[in-house]
Amino acid sequence: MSARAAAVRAVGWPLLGVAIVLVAWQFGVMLSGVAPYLLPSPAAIARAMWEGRDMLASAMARTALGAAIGFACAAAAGGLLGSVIALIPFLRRSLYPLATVLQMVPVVAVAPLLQLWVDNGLPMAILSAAIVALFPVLAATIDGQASVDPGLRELFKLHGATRLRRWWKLDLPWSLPATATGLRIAAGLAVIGAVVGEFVSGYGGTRAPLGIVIQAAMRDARTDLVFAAVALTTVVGFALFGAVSLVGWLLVRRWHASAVNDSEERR
Amino acid sequence: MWRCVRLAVAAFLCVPSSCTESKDGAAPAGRTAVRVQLNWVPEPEFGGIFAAQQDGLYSLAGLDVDIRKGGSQVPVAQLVASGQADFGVMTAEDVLTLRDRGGELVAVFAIFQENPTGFLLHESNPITTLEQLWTSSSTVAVDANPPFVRLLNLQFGGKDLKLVPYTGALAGFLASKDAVQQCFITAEPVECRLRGVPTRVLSIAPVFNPYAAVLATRASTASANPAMVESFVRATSEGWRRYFADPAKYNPAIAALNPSMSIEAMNMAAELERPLIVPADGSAIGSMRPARWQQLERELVQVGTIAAGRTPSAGALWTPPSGSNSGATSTKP
Repeated sequence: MSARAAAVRAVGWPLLGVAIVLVAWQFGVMLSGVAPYLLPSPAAIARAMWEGRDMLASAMARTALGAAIGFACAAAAGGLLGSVIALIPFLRRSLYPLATVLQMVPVVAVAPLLQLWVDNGLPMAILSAAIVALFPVLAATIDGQASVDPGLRELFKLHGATRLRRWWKLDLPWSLPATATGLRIAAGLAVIGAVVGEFVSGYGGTRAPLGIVIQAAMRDARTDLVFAAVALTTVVGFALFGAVSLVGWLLVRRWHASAVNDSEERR
Repeated sequence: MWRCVRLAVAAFLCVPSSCTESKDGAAPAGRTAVRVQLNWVPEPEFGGIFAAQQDGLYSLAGLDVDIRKGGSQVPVAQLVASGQADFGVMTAEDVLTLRDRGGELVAVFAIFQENPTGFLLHESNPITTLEQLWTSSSTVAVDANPPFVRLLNLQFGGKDLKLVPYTGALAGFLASKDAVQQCFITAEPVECRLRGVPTRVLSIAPVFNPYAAVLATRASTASANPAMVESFVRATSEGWRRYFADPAKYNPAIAALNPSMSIEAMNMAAELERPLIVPADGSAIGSMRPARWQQLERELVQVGTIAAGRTPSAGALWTPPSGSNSGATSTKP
């Protein structure tokens, strides 16, 4: 199969799935006569999106900024902390269980608390996004670096490599695919975290991010606008996920089995 | 099947929790099951409803009432309009807004005659008027873009204000001397007073004074079962009369459902809300004047919540079939 046909197939099937759902939804709403303030049709949502495009675009940009910065902070902190924890067995035993607590903390419950510690608006969205995105990166980094082939480790030891050199030349590249998976999961979570942060401390008025647009539209019984804003949060999530996937693929495409096998299959 | 879809959607929007032992749809023989959805946690602002329940007034009226507590994210108007609740406590603007969007709601009883909404400031804050507040650069915790914010923006600009979500929590307010937040005159200021925190309240009633809490039902429910609605309104009205006669008798039961507010605070709140609920002109508790609904409609058009030329206030008020003054509506202009 040519690369072009493969690309069409890769994009075509999911698009067809989306189209089927949208058509079924549109007809379902039209035939059932369900009230638009309960479930608007896709056409009504598209209209709301178009009519509010300026406001929604700026709201989306704000949410995307919060999610992206929060994600970047989580990626940097998770990668760094994960590496340190993986390198030092004592830390791995003492800190790793503590890190899992992070995953258990419902960010919705702690968001009002965070509000007491950081400024409203963007800082709060960033912190909230970073908190939920940190654990997947941290866990994936630690697991990735802990699963290095012992034979290769022995080989590095045999050649007298220092701990740091072994980390740089072996542990880090070995863990990249695992870390990339963690980063992809974190990308989607970061958007959810950012919106939760906005729910408790996003600015209103002309500076409103998507979280506030959702709340205001709900108050105004503009269910179509709620759906439009929610759809845009998923767009932000997809964009972040896509960007992270691309970077991950670029890093491992030449050598790692996951990327090489994939391109072999396509051929 | 579409009924199932509608129910599923409404269930997705909100899973209401019951204040009393839920007997969903299973009313004792001879009594009609009635679900009442509150828009906030149990507080004295619902005192009359709880008093009517406690004294068995609803049972005497042949109703088996299930009171469901609410919260800031509970879409009460949608729940009532979709039939998930028989009556709901909501703002008058909720009624008009949803009517404008196709929801068939009618208001049957006004809890507050005067708007109890205001802004809570620390007493040390130099701001003493709404205009000063709205032309300052304060951070104000407020509901997401409600009509009164848009009215204040139209009057005073508010360009430098930083509006953040109002969650109902006091922690943020107590943590900062510059903090300003939306409040119910009967709730947060009382809590602050009990904690020894001196505050000042700027009422928004001079700028925006619709019925801030009304009981509404579906128009179809009201027309299909007017006797039930009238019984409910009468019992609620009597509940309020009894509540104000002796709030301390009823507040312990309300406090049991809302441990975050003390009985002492509830007793104080009851006294504060009395002049806002009991009509000053001597008309019955719960009365509403059509003119105030029309004024609200004009204000909602002004701020863009509803389009010009739409008249959702027409028919928004329920008229009791007996024509007697049951405390629901008044024909005064």
